[in-house]
Amino acid sequence: MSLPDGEDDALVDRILAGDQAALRALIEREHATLLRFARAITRESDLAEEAVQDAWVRIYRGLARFEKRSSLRTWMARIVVNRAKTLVVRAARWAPLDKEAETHEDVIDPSCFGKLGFWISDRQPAQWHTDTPERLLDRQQIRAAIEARIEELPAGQRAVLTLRDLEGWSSEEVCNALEISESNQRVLLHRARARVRAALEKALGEEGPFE
Amino acid sequence: MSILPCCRDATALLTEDAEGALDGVAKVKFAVHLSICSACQRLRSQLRTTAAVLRELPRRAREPRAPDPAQVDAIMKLLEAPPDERD
Repeated sequence: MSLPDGEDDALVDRILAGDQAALRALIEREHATLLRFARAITRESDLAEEAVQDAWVRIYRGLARFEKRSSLRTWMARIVVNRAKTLVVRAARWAPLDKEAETHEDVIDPSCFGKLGFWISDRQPAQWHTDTPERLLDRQQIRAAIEARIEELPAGQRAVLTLRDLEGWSSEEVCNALEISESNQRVLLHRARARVRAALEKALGEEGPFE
Repeated sequence: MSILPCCRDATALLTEDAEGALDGVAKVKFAVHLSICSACQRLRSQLRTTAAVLRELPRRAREPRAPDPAQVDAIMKLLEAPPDERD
């Protein structure tokens, strides 16, 4: 989810040369994304605002030290993550993301499987009435159910899902920003998508079939 | 070691497979299980739909994708302040 090679470098060079318009362009381009990202970690809007504001100061101060080993966005995201973590730790609510991934969680209700681990016939995934994501999201109740479930996800799942699916980041970018392993990133993504799928299934069941 | 994964094990590998993280014998066993299990196929399809829905979600969000100009002004002002005033 980075700009083509060179565009970020040029923007950084302009900012370092004192170009205020370039700095404003960077803030306009990235602020909303960084805020959503911080909110995925903190859950609370006020804490997220504070984290991103602190992060902008650190980004601006540290820009001369940006070594371009990762994309600008990944580098900025890491600063936001660290600020958000610090604020959440200060509020005594932080659990390490790798630890979250390594904790056992049944993605599918174990009662759906028999002793040998195969689906019990009446506990299999319900048939969805085929439709496009666009049409599913046209339905306010379904959209609300998905948004509510995302809000309820544990911090690591929410952070990975937000970056991978909502923001379109690559797995490598997410691992770098969150400082988690590839395998733990996949575990958190799988759990998060499975929980949202379950919410979608429930909402579809409550709404009835498509017309 | 069993010949093929059971449904419980196969469902745990759906994202691993989607992310290209399965290889060798594990990938083959998973593929064979999927080819004969309609319930696991359905779950895979639903997870794909879920991911597609999530990718589409930001376009429907009420939250603006660009910050308010006043918010940008406030950050610019914060960055322009001398370091001791920022801390």
